[in-house]
Amino acid sequence: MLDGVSGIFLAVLVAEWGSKPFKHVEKIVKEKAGKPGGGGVRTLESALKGCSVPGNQRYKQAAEWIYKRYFGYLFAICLRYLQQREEAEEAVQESFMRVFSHIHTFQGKGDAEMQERLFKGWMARITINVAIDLLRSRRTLASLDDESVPVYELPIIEHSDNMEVQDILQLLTRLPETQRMVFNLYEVEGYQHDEVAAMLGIPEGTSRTYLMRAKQKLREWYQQGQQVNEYNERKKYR
Amino acid sequence: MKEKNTDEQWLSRMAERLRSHEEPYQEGAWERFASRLPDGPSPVPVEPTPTSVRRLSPVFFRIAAAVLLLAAVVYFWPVAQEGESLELVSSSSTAPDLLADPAMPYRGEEGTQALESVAAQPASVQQSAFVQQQESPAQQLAPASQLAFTPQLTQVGAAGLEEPALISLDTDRLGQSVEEDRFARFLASEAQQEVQVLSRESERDFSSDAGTDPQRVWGMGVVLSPNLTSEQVNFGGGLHIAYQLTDRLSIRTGVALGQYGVNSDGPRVLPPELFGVKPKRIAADEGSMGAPLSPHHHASMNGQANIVAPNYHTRFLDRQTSSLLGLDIPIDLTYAINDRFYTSVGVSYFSVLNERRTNHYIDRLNEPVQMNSNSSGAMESFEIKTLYVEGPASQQPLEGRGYTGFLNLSMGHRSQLTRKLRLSIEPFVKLPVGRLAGEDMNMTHGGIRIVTGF
Repeated sequence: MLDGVSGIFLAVLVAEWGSKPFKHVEKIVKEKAGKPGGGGVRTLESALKGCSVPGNQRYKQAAEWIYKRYFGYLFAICLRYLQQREEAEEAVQESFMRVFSHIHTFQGKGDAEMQERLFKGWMARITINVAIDLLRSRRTLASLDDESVPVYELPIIEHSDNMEVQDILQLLTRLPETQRMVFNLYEVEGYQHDEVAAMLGIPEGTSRTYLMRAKQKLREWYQQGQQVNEYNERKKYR
Repeated sequence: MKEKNTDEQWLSRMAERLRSHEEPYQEGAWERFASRLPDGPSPVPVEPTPTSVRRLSPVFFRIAAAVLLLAAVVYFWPVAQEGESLELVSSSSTAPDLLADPAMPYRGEEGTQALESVAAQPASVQQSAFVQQQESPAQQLAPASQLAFTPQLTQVGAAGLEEPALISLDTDRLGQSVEEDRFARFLASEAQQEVQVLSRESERDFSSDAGTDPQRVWGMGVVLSPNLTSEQVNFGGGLHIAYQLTDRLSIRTGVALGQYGVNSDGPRVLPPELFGVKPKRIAADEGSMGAPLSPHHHASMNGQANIVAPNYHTRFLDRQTSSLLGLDIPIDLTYAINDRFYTSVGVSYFSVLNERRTNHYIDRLNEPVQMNSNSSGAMESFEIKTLYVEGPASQQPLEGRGYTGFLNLSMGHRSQLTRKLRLSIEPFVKLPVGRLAGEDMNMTHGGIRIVTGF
């Protein structure tokens, strides 16, 4: 009998916990009625919840909040992999499409800061995959070689502490696509060589080789850029 | 070496700059993206994740709660009530579902009259009449709902609930395009959902807005509760009062007076000395005192060892029954599963106002009988007879006592009979707890509570 009684209590508790009856219905009614603040999205948690509620105004509000908040973050990632800003913007749009279509699979945990970090990492993985897919669709990775790289003008590079992001991106743009992807994945994103190899479909040793070549070229260009910079500085003071 | 370290530092600084860099937001990017975005998320349902209980759908919890409660009620429900329970379920399932017909909330007297008047008018007048008719139900619902709808949404929503012919008539009159028509249908479906919520609210006992409509926050009703104990069918009744805490949760109390026929948990055999009857035996090899001796056993025996003294009399207290007049004051927490079904759990204070306890005895006594003997003709012998005797008990131990008494479990179905009168049919079970459970009477009972609310 005690089992049955405790089962009843458990049932009521479970029902109350799940339904959040004290505020839940009132909140939904306010949101549907469009009262000010009812559908406002202010936190990532509420935005994620809003994106899980099918077809109402709250969904677009939540999606807009997420899009505008993380657009710059994803755009910066795309710019590291893709040479043209138009391509990067296209990749961002495609990334957000995938994000919103799979957002129900994201499992956040921890406090708000941790949840945001996890969400950004989750979006970054999607974006990187989108960028790689875009590069693959343009040309197969096997056909990429060092000789096929267009030569961009070497930027004037200041001291590394003062180096602008645009200068770094310009250096990266000079790298062959595979080397650039390996460098980004390994050095910036923090993947290991086996993961990089799996993502790009290349042998692990090739990934190491590409990374080494990328570093050599970056170092070389960095030094050349610094020399140009020093030359310009001397010329300015004469 | 130093050069390599410097190289690594430079690379790490560069990587760090790239990681922390974010591009500024480009104006118009969201607008371009929103045109590609569907109206809702992926149709893939949100699966409950085992690691995060908060992401589980509330519907899951409600279904789980309902199943658990139903299983518990079936487990505790007396077998004799099964027919009634099934009958209740079938009657509720065949009841007309007002919500299933979206036009039902608008088929009040005014709406019917207005539609009839529109039908009776010439075609040229019908359009304008219909436009007026569109607005009237929404105007009726708006104050009752306490919700702020935009006039446009309400108007189109009302149109969505009318007949399709009238919608097309109105659409043609306004000259809307196909896209506008789709949009209107979308808004109509949205408004229909809202109206369903409102109709559910109106059918519910109490309002969701606890602070604005006191009449819907408080509820009173009359309760009639036939119930069944292990002894007999009983009747009780009383008043109940309820207070709506939230949309789904309410607390209720009341007072109910009932007559309960209960009995002791099982047959008890008390020593015969307690009844002032001392048996005498002749035979030394008879069974021990108090051991029942069946007539069949007696008949199968013969000889001296079987003969008992004429004043042999044993009395066994078979059981006790009691008729209690009790006052039941429950306090229950009611949870609305949906607009029709609800569950309730709570406790009752139970006070016994009057008790009539009856003892039921099994008496065994010997009676002289005539037996034929081959040698000397008729001879007198004795045969043990069993009598069932009942008499009032000298003590009424429960009378005047109060207990915190019962655990109340119930599940009910409520329907709106008229505008102001509701009827709830609520199977319930009451389980004694605390000191009441320790009493010698089995107080467990269950029944059907019929509640009329107004």
